Amino acid sequence: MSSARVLIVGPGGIGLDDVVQLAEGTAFPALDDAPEYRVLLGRGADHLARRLAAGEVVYGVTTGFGDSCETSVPDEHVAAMPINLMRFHGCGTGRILDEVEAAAVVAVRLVALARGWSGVRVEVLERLCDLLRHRLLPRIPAEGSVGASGDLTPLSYVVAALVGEREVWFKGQVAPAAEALREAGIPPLVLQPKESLALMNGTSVMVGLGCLAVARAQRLARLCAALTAMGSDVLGGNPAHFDDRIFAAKPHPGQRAVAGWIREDIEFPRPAAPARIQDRYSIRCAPHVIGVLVDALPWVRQWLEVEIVGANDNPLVDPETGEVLHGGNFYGGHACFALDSLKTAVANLADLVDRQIALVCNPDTNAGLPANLVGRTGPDRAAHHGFKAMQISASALAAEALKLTMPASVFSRSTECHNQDKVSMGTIAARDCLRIVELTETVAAIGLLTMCQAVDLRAGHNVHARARTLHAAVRGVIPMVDADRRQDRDIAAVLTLMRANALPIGALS
Amino acid sequence: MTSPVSVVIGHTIALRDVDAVARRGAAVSLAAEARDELRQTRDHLEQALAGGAIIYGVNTGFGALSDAKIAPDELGILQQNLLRSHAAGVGPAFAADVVRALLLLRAHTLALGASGVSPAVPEFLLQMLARDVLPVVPCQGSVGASGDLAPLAHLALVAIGEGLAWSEGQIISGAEALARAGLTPLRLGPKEGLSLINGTQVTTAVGALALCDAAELIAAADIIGSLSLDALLGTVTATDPRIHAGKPHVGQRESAAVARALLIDSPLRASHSDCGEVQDAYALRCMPQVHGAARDAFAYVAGAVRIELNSFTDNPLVLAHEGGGFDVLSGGNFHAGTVALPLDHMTAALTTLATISERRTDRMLNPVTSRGLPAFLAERPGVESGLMMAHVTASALASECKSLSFPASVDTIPTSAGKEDHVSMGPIAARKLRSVVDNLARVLAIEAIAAARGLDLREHPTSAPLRRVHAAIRAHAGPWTGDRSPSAETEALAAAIVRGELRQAAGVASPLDRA
Repeated sequence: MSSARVLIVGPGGIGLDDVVQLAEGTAFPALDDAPEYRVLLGRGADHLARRLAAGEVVYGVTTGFGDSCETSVPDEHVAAMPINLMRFHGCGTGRILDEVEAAAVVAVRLVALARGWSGVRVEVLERLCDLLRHRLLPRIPAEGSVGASGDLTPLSYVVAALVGEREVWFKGQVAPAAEALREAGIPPLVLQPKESLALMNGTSVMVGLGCLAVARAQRLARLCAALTAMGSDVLGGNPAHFDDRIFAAKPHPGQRAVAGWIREDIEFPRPAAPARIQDRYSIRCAPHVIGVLVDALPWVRQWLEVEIVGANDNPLVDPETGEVLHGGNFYGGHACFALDSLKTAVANLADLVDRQIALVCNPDTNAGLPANLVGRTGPDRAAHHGFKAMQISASALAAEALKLTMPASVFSRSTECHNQDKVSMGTIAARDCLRIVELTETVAAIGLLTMCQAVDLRAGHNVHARARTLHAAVRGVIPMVDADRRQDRDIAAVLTLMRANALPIGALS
Repeated sequence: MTSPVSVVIGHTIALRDVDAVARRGAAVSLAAEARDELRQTRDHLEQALAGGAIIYGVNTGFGALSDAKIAPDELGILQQNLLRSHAAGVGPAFAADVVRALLLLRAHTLALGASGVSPAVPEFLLQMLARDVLPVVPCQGSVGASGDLAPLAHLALVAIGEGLAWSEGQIISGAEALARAGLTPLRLGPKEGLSLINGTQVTTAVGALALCDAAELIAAADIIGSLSLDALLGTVTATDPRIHAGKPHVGQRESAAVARALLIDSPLRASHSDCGEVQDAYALRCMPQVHGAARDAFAYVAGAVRIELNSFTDNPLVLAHEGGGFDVLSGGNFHAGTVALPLDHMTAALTTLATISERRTDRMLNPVTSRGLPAFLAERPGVESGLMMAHVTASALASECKSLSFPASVDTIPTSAGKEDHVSMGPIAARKLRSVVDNLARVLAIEAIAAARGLDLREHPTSAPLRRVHAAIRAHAGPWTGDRSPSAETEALAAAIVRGELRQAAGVASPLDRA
């Protein structure tokens, strides 16, 4: 905690990369203490308290929730509303989000409320900062949100952690929330009217998960460019496919950048005697495939960043005038569409790398390498099958990733007595997106092991900068396959390096 | 396929009958005893109404408006309004064969006697069919429950002298179409409008015709796949009946038996029996498992559609009870879920035939896998591109089939103010199946062109039945020498495959024989 940077959270919000750092615990939040900001933060809750004292009707405070908004709640029961809201949403199902994912959710919710339009007290924001600072994080079941009116059910687990109900992650273990709060010295929050609604009514689960997916997708793009360079090297590919003039002539910026990465990796320009005048599409058109992702990432990032800093609560309280504005900013349509698109772009990388692995394993296409990259040289060579099953695995993973690209956003269904009669399903898109990223990372790990084996079999001939550095990094932990052996642990080891950002894949500029 | 002289409705009809009436001009008549039964049921309904009974859709509003009670003097207007308001279809009009199938199937379900319509109603639909009065029916706008309301309303409007109809390729008014055919517009009594539109006939009409074609394609896949196997110097070992007795799916055994019978006496096969190749790639070796699954799917789907064809799909139903008399019962037989799911299943099964056929075409064109055939089967590869682009067309079609394989039946949108809160999307499933059938026919045609070319290039001849298939192909697609556009021959051969020409040449039974 001491080595981590402190990230000031104020009215201007934070960026996607900041969210990822807060999620991974390499940064911790501190609420901006500028006096004018603190005044602004205090206003919303004050306005709200004044309106309640004057007997005004405010949705979700003096009324029931959702379709029950025409039920008025007598004064003596207003105080029970926030805790009940949290409790009746405690019906999440499915896998539990891990600590990094839960921290991303908490960080994104913190930033949304820190905008000062939700009518919550400063104390609520401080407690959210405490959760991140102490890595005391809600155990959030992944399923149960339709993505409008916000991620209600999963976010109820954030509220539960703040008040000391349900379970949390603490010091890497599962603990009852009340005990963990006590041990960390964090006072349980006593919810004021609307605070529970403000914490739950928004897009922070889909956006938090989406931020993690974007960061991983970005690294995957660079890694896949590096794998393409290795593939071109070991297949004796034609470097001229990556000539910048080609990409200047159809100047999608991301596609051009990917070609630039590959040129850097294969030390272009250099004399070459390619095996074929034109390589197959999975090598030649790799910039056109990876480039789609690289060109999509900026707008996906921009949409998510608007969602991060935007007040995605309802109702909103204008801190200047104190007006209560009833709207639908909890609707996750933008995040859903962005993440549905990201799914397709990332899954295409899984497909691309699977095809590259197939090219390198197939003796009809691998320019003289042994079939299936069998590294055995002795008389029992015919009894070994090298990377045959690894290629089949990659195909299975790619198919699973491609299958998941069906858009979630087209599956809206009317719920909650038809009050929520059109919803975003953005949280499903975010979860599918993370799963596709995970599958694609695994295909890339298999791809890297395959390319490293091919580099060994070429005995370094025609192997350029990127292939050499990546090969050395992998061989530092995993030996060449010179006889049939289990390779599941090899894949896991590469994934560990990849997720720790420890592979020398090159800069993302 | 020979055309039956006539089809009798009112008892049971078969998938083949739909094809015979819709495409081969078979005459249709109403079973004599069905007429008497219709009269009896109608009398009962009229008596019940005279006795003051309240019956859904007869003297109430429709759908979510079913609580509105309709006065006796407005019952005729109610039926007329129903047809007018429900004719909300959009999109391109269905082809003539589908419209004929619609007239047949709607007349048949009414003739089964549970709708409470007078015999004049199904008889009028048969008159329209006989005199070629074909309504213009837009193909979109039905969610497949409560029935294919909108498209059937377009059909029914013509019967009462409204709407639009075809006349020698032109669109004319329904009134004019009836007049030209010498028919007086049908006058609807209570319930008769509802009974014309409440049911699954669009789903079953489109689905049944698509299934008749699918049967030919399923048979053709075994035949054309066998041609490819021989052209690729494959082995028949994988069709050995002992293998398939060990995993005895019915369709798998049939596909294996068809391929084995076609290939076993091939001199070409005998010529390389000592080649040392023991196993072919999956697209050849696993044909019985893949094609057989499609055969089994067909049997299941055809069974479901056959039941639906011969069902009461109306609501409410006027049904006899034990010990005499009738009851009017409200149910949900108009819901096409019973066929939407099977049709979706058929679509997925045919897509696997498209994807495996495309793989075989690829193997014949790729010199790495073709066992000695020239690249892209060109005479002079390089100067000529041969069948390179025909294969790309097959790939595009197979991919389109994959996109179309997402099931329609998993979606539902509540309609009619939430009353119709779970619907089938059956007509969408049927139309997607139609598209996949059309694509698959062309994918198989391209494989057949490639396989015929491959056989021409081999030194030894193929078997006698496959030589007949080769000749049947040559009737539509000539020998592939020199570059030329493959489009027209692909289309002509695809149509011939759907007509069963290759199957008849091979002497193979149609899966429809069992359906």
